[in-house]
Parts: sequence; structure tokens; C-alpha cells
Amino acid sequence: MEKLLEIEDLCINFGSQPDAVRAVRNLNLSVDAGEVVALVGESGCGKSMSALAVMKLTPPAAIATGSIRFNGTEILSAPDSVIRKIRGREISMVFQEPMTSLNPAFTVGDQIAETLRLHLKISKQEAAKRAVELLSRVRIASPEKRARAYPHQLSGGMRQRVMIAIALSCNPKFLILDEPTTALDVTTQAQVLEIVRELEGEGDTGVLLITHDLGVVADLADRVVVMYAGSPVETSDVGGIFSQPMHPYTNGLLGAVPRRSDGIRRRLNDIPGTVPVIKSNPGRCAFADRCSYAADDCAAKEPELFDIQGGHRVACFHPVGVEEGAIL
Amino acid sequence: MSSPILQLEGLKVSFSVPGGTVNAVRDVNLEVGKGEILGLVGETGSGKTTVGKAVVRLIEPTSGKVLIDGVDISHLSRGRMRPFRRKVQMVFQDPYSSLNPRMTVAKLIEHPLAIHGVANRLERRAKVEEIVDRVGLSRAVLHRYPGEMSGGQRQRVGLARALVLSPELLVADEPVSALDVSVQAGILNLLVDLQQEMGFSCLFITHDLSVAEHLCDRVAVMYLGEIVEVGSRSDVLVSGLHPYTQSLLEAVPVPDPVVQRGRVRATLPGDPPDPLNPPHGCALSPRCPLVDSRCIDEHPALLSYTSGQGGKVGSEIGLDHLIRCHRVAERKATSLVENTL
Amino acid sequence: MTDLASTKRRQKPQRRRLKAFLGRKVAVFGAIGILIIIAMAIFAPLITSYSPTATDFTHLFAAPFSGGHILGTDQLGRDSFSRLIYGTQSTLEVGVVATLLGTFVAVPIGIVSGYYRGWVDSVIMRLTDVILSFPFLVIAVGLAAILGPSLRNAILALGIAQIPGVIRIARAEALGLREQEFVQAAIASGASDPTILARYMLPNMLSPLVVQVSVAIPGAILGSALLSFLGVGVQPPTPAWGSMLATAQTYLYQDYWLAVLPGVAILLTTLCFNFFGDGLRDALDPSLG
Repeated sequence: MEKLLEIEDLCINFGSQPDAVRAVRNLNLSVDAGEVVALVGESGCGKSMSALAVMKLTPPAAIATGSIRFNGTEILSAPDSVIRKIRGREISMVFQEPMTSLNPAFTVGDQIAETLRLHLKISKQEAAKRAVELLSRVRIASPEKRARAYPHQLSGGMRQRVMIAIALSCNPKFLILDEPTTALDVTTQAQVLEIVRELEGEGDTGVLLITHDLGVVADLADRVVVMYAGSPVETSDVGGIFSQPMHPYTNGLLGAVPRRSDGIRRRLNDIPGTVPVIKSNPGRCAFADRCSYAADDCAAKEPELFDIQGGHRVACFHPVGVEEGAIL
Repeated sequence: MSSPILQLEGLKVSFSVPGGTVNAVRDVNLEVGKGEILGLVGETGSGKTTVGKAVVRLIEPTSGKVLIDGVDISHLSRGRMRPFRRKVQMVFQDPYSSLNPRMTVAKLIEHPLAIHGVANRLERRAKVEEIVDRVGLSRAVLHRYPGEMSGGQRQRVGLARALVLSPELLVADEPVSALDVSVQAGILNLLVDLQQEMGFSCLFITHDLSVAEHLCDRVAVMYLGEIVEVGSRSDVLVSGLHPYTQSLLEAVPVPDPVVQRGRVRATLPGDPPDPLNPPHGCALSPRCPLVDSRCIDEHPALLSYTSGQGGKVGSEIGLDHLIRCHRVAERKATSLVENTL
Repeated sequence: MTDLASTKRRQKPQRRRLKAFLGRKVAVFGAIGILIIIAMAIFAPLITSYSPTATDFTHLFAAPFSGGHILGTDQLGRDSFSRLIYGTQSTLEVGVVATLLGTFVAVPIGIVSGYYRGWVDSVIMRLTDVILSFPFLVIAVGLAAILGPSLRNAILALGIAQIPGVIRIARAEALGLREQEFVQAAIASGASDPTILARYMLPNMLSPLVVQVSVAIPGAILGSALLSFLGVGVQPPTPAWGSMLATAQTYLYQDYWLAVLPGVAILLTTLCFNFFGDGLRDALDPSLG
């Protein structure tokens, strides 16, 4: 059966060929209806750029190749008129920064109603009524009153929930959450996570979750794709990533997070160095310079994703916890 | 134990804003002992950063005292303040905006020494090189500008600048929240090492409970400008009793799907109240799951509940476990003693 | 694989700014134009053999390219080309010196106002409000009329008239900078106010101020032309574009060239400075860090 979203060999380059910066390299990913797939990595790994490509919102300087199929439509080659019908109605996106994503000149009720009327043929009164319903769905107390508020009168957490209300307004088939809780306090983050869990519980919305927060991934994701320097390095169901991280980068990330169950001042695992910017074909593992497992073969060839067990795929010649020689 | 390096007594900071007065900090009492790392935990608008700024006198408190080594600095003149500036240094959250973009790293780190007239130029150079080594930067960065470095490197420069004067107290305001986890881990490790080597005390301001639990000897939780719970790391972050502390602990997602999905993920409903119109009674009352009529009518006091093992009531360094909650007080009624602080 | 981030980081910010500036054709055009204008002012005696004040009553109102005068002569038989070239000197002098004068006086006031805020700021702001309620040129003309017509007084008048505007710009910059963490860090480390103002505030305000100066110069040049035009600026026989334009007005029907030449000169000069200023603004954009 056709997946809801299918990304194949997505590459995003900036600049012209020999010097092009390769922001995303050979990303393969699919999201089923009702599934949450998390795209995990640190700043500069290409995760947000990949999400923007799904909405065809990459900056003009970016050149995207490969294929992104949504519900049978090829996004990358679709004309703007088709994309505009998909955006906001079938695919919605929630950005990290709730401060700048709302128009300061209109009340939040008006802004939600406007989105509704743009995509659905409904009357003004009907739209206003639905806007209030959406606000209460995202757990905003006294929604009638808040609908009449301007963005600056709301806290950051409330604004982010308004953004989610707008994203949910047309019951999209697919939702992209780009660092949805990064700018929020923990208690507000918990509210947002709850809204997404509830959404997942009741319908078949597919979700692409972009985040660097492994706690959020553990809470929401069904499957995980870990990205490093523009390419996927490990992908598995959520259990596999956390119980048996095989790529040294994933392993390192998990070791870098302070955990509440640890003793005081346990030595954290830091990953020295910085994420490299990839130009041309690296011809070697992009993580090798920062990797404590690196050997000669890592500098000779770039590892490709390899299925180690039941869909747990790793792009590494020396996966953690797998005996040497187990893969060829 | 010796006397504390920092004591806050009835600290209050108010700002006038259009529409009234915001009491960003309302009556905060706190002590940081010598060689101790105290975590000040809270969400946006809790007033934790304002407390930090009052300690380094970037803000003059409206009332109350800020005692550094027993001397109240809250209203000292510029000249009288100088020796205390040397004792108390600050690290900021944003490694991008906290370094003067027009100065090289060498100048940035040397500047505090020059301001306080420490040593001659040659000795200062040596001190700068020493601290640069200590924070794990190569000496090659000395001639770079902040704009030419990564976030992690910049934050190391920020640490070097703060520590070059060998301060007695370091105020660290969210020093790792703008960094990626792998970089954050390096800075936290470094902070632990430096604190052990140099023995400074630290007021560590953070919104991240995992970081606080990782690093701090004692923890104070702030909500709407006041401390709602303070105590040892385990008192507050393992067996915290205040409903706000508990909901914070429940809200932090655990990076383990089995644990995370198995736990009760109760969320605190609603949003923090408008600081212009704080609730009359307990600040948490509009959101609290345990609320009753007393919470709405009466502002709770910070009361001491000290567990049997090792806790000395009224001890100089404040090993007490203090909680601001009527409901906890009721439950603990028999063992509670009115806090005399 | 190359570590672009680190090579890019190693590139000096000045380099990147220069690149950004050179990437804009208009800005480069403006810069070249300004260089030519400056060269004309400095090397005037080498460019033309005629004295700008020498009269030749045998050639009055000569048409361009006649009688050995490239651009003809005026009502007193003075060589128009010479007057135009020498006019660059007084025009530039008034424009540049007046702007620098205004900036040097206004910037410290603006920084102090924005850094200390409080009553100092309120007093300074109310004063600038009062002055700014009059148009720039009205103040300049008024001042020049009071001071008496001369090159020096024209500079003074145009310089003083700029002060309130520049104070506001410097203050706005200072207000923003004061809240920057690195300034807060300097305060927290015990740096004295003069140190903070001189080493933390001023250097970080230079970019916007340089842009402000380059945009203000054409304004001052236009102002100086107006002063000369109204007879309260540079006095004859010193050639100045404004006074040339004023005189030419009388003979507009006899010889329109006399008006066209200084007019075009003023237009081109202000355009060059404006293009240059815009390019500078883009190149010094803080996002290019």
C-alpha cells in the first residue's frame, strides 16, 4: 500500500555544483497515516531543511532533487497552484518560534477563522465558532475570551498552541512539527505533547516531528531517523534507538543528555569538534573525525545505511554493540 | 561549615510597566554556601534571572539585602562596589551576544584583569593563557573574534572571562540552554572540573531540571517571583513535595520510551498568571490540582520541613527543606516548625 | 569534504563586508563617482587651465565647445568648466565638514542619553523634539542668516542643524546596545562608564553611524547649495554650485546651460553618495557579522 508520505533520495544543495553545500544527502523516509516519525539531530544536520522541502518552502537558493510523494502527488515537481492547495489544508506545519509566526495586527480568533475560510467554504459566523472550538481543543482556558486577544496579549506557550490550532484547523492528513516545544517551558511543553498524543489517539494524521530533544522523541515517536551532517545515520523504531543505539553518534547523543536517574555530576559524554559542512562527495564517513570508534576504513569510504536487524538500519562500519565482522 | 558567600534577605525587585507594577521578585531568602552549587530553577517569568542580575548588581533591588561575604551590596556606590565585582562574576545564556564582537578573545579575557588593575601586562597575558588552557581552548583562538567561533567555543570564552579573576561566586544564567546537547555536555563537564579545581561557589540559574539535578548540591524552585521549594538536590528533585515542583518533575520527558510512556504524564493545566494581577492567595492556586479555599484566600509561608537524617534546623548553611504550600503544611502539620528566616 | 564552517569563520569579517559591498554594482558606481568628485576637488588646478574667477568680457555667454571653453562661459565670461570643478571644493567641504561636525557633537550626546536614560535622556530628547519640529533646511537657513554669509558659517549652520537628528540615531543605537549581554557583562565585571561607552558601545555603533554619515552628506550638499542659492552661503566670487544655480536663474532664457551644469553636478554628487550609503548599509548589515 502506498505510504502517506514517501521521501526518496532527497538531496538539497545550496550554490552551484562543484562548490555546492550539501545540506541534505540521500534522505529516505516514509510516514504512514497515524504514524509519528521523528527526525532527530543537532543544529545544522539538515532536519529542518528536509521538513521545509515537504512543504516546498525551501529558500530560493536551495536546489532539491529526488522525490517527495504525498498521497500520490509528487511535491518537488508540482506546480505552485497544486502546492498551495496542499499547504495548510492537507499538510500543516508548526514552527519553533511562536512569537513571529502570528500577525500582530489581528486577533488570534480572526487568524484561525481566516485560515478556515481560505480552505473551507464556510460562513464567517461558522468560522468564528470553529475557531473557538479549536482553541478549546488545544487547551486554552476561556477560549471565547482568548479568541478576541491579540498575539502580544498571550504568553509564548499560548501562542504556540494557537499555531497548533491553526495547523489543525482543516483537519490535515499530515502535520509537520518543527521543534514545536523548543522555545517553551516544560509545563507548556507537556501540554503541547499531550495535544499531539491526543491527536494521534483519535485519528490517522501522519506526523513528521523535527526535534533535538530526545525526551520528546521518547514521548511521541513511533519511528526515528537520526541525521548527521545532512544524511541519515540510523533509523529504527523508537525502542531500538533508545535500547540499542548502534551508530556512535546516536550513542554519543544519548550519553550526552543529563538524566535524572544518574548520580550527581556523572561524567557526560561530550562529542568534541563541530558538525562539518559537506561539499561534493565526502568519500568517507562524515562523523569519523569526531568518532571514538573510527578506524581506517571510515576514511576510505562513506558507509551506507545497512539493515542490521528487522528494520534497524545504521550507516556505520563499526556499529556499537555489534560484533566486528557481523556486517560486510 | 563557614559562613555563606551569598545571602539574599527579603529580596524584592519591582519594575514599573505600562499598566502597573510587576513584582518580578517577591521576598526571596536564599543562601549559597562556600564551594556549593545552588540551582535556581524556574520557568519563564519566574524571576530567576532577575535574582541573578540583582546578585551581580545589574539591577538594584527595590528592597531587601544582597549580602556578599556578609556585606550588603544592594545599594553600594560604584566605587564601593568594585571589590565585590571582582568576587562575583557572571556567565550569560547567549554566547552570541555576551561577547563584545569587536574584541579579540585575548582582549575579552584580559579586560576584567585590566579593569581591576591586576598585575602588569606580561603577567596578565600569562594569566589569560593559563585560563584559556583550563577551559579547554587552544591558544590559537586568542587572536580570533567571537564571530569566528562556534557556540561551544564562545561559551568557553565566556567562562574564561568570568573565571580569570578567580571569583568566589559565579552566577551562571542558563549557560548551556542555547547549546546543542553534545556541546552542552562538554560545558557541563568543564564546569564540574573547574568548580572542583578552583573551589568557587555557583548560583546556577536554569529551566532544565535534568541539568539542575546533574550539577547542583541544593536546588531552589521559583514560581511567579517567589521560592516555592528549596532544599538539597534529593529533597527537591527526587522527593519534592510542592505541587509545582512535582508537576515540573512530571513534565520533563525522560529520554527512554519505555519509562516515558509508562509514567503518569499529568500536566499542569493553564498558564502562569498575569504578573500584573498575581493571585491573592497562593501563586499556584489557579492551576494547582490540590487547591482548596485556604489556598485561594491566604498566601502560604515558606515553612521548614527537615528530614531526620543530618538536617540541622537553623544551621548556618540552610540544609533545611523549605516548602511554600498550605496542603503540604497540613499533611506535615505535626513535624512542621515555623521557619524563622 | 571540507570544513566550510571553519574556513568561513577564519575569513575576517571585514573581508566578507568588502565582498558584499563589491557585489552591488550601484554601490561601486557610487564609490567610484565619489572618488572622481574628490579627485576633481583636489586636482582642480591640474584639470583646468582657466581660473574660475578670471573674467573675459570678449566671451560672454559662450556656448559649450566654443572659444576654447569646453562648457562655455557665464555672464561675466568666466569659464563654466573651471567654475564647476572649483565649485566641487566648496561644495564638498561644506557637505563633508558640516556632517562630520554634526556627527562628532551629536554622537557623544546620543550615547550618553541612551546609556544613562532617566532624566538626562528626557531632557535631551525633549530638546531635540523641539528642534526637530522645524525642518532641517529651515534651521540651516535661519542659522546661516544669523551667523552671516561665509563658507565657515555655512558649515556651522548645516552642522548644527544636523545635530538633533544624529542624536536620535545614536541614542536609539545606544539604547539597544545597552541591553546587549556583552555590555551587561562589562557592567557586571566592574568596568567604568567611560570604558563601557568607549570600548563597548561606540565601536559597535560605528557601522550604523558610518552609514548615517554617508547618507547625511548629500543632504548637507543640497543644503549648502540652497544656502548659496539664497545668498546666505558661500560668497562670490568663490565658485559654488548653489550660487552658480542662483545666478543662472536670471539668465535662464539667454543661456540655459548655466543652470543645467551645476544642477546636474549637484544631482550626480548626491546620487553617488546615496548609492554609496545604501551599499554601505547592506554591507555593514549585522547579519553578515
